[in-house]
Amino acid sequence: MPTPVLDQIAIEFAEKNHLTGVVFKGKGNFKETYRATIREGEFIALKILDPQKCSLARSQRENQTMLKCDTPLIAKLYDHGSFSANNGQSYYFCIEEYLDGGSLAERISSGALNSNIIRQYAITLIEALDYLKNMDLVHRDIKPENIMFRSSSNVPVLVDLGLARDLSESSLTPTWLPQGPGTPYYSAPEQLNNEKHLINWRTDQFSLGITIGICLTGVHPFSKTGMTQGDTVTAVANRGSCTSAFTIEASDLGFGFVVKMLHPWPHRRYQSPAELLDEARR
Amino acid sequence: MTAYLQMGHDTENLVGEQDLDAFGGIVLSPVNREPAALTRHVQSFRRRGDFDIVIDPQLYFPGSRRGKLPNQPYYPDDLDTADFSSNGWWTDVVTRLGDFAGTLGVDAVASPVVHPRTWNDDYFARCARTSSSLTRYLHGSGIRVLTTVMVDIDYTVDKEALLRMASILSGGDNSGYYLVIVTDVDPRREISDEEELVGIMSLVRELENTGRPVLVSHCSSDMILFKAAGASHCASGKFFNLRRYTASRFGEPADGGGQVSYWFEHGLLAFLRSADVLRILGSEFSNLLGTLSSNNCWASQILDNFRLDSPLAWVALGWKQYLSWFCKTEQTLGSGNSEELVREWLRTANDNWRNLDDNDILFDEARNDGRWIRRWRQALTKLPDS
Repeated sequence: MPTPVLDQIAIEFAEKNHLTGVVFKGKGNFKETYRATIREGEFIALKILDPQKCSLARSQRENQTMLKCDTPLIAKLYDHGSFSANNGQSYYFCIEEYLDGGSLAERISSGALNSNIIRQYAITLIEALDYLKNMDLVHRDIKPENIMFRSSSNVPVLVDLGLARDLSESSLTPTWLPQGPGTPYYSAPEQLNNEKHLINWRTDQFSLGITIGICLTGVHPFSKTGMTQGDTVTAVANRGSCTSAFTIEASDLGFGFVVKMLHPWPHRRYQSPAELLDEARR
Repeated sequence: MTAYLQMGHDTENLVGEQDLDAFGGIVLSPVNREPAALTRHVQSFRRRGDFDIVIDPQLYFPGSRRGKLPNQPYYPDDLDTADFSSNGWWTDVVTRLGDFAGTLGVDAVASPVVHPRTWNDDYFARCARTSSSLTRYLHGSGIRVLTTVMVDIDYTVDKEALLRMASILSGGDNSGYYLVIVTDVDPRREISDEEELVGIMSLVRELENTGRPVLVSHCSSDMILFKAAGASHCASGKFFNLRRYTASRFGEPADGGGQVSYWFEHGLLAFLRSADVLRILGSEFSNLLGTLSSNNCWASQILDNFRLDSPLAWVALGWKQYLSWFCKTEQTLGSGNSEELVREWLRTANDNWRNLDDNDILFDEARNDGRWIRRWRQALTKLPDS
């Protein structure tokens, strides 16, 4: 478990907002996640963003759109905003539905997945992408850690929409990082190369393809023996193809459609969630 | 899979004409007609047949050649001074164009574009956004939106730029694409740069492979290449494609003038002037004339005319002979293995040109010697697979 650095800020926020029982749950590139108690037995996920690493104005604008999402496929965002801490710094916070069934990353590690379950997850997650597309949103950070489950449920839920981009907004600020936001290991080439005009739901399709690929085979679909994570990311950024080993294995398992999801150019991936769903259900 | 008749100056009488019935669609030209006339024509076309009618708003026309365009209700008065990066400006154009399309009762509308100063990702992203915005505006109206893809053929030579363009354009909402190719080649001459041909054919193929149909506008005999690349539809009209030997399209008379007659010969994939037709008729290669769809009722009338003591001018017959070839050939290529068929036609044309040359049968136009055929063949060979 990584070490929290914003824990005092989370506690301070909780005290000011009548929350108790703050427990550190995880850490991403830009933020830390805590579980907090509203009242006995009822929890929320509290996310504190590091102001040194992200744009508060941008987060605020994008989360405003996320508040409109109303589907069980996506963790509900209850509130968001900024607050001034006692250290004089301004921090951005998100309060989301707390999902206590663990993450897909944990299920992959436990080795509990078989191809039937993976297919069910894939179908549900494609439906989630369809929902986001209809909202004109791109998640931009789909990965096993951002796919959670409600307690004793087998239905995956997309979380952490903090990087989501509202495509209907024309006044987006430049990106946060040279390679664009997102987790590089799961990112599409257009994200890694920061090609903003190419980013849309098909970018999420690619990340979901990587996620499904890892569920199926345990390795990144672009990774060959001896490659580091950095080498793999470079291969994706250079618009390579997924490995022939992965192509064969995915096909043998009845997941040949994932190879198309992973095409380096968006126009050669599936062009609509409906088309992708049809393939996934076959 | 159907050919579209590209309207131009005084073209409406060709709709439903004899031996032109393989045209299943019509592209309206607001440059040439007042709004009220466009409305009347749409109604008239509906009575004449089951045509798919598309309006091309033509905002990409240069200022000196806009004709009736300024009278169209969607025409922005500040077209030459506007800030094209303004969403508000485009929203206004989209709204007015969408309303006009509804009033006209067309089946589809090509999204509005302007001729950019530079071809780049920003430009194509704007094209995709405008198309999406028009699609949203017309949602539920039954009118399809085609994303207008206006592109300099030279830009498509860069493979990376081409793939990025296809990805950007296919990210927008639409029911298909309307391709407007910009080239420095004289309108009456064949495009014969191999790399450019490979580029533009690849673009057609990439866009078609997204599952949405491509309609290539303003085609000439190069239609066969676009069909080989997989284009669902191609459009052509009478003036643009027949008078090939002028310096530039926009240097031509505004009324579409040009009184030189041409025969289109499938066996040579070339346009022939009167003297050349007679030259072949008087040679041992007379059976070369009228191959496949270039043999049509208009071809017969042209040949009958030559038999008169004083042959009449046959400009209009020439347009119809070519257009009849165009729509029937487009149809043929829509029903089978078009790439292989086109390769075969090109091989035959290559042989025919060689035979003419070997027998010193040379045409009036010095550059009308079939040398583009080899380039077309080479371009087809280099075209990447689907």
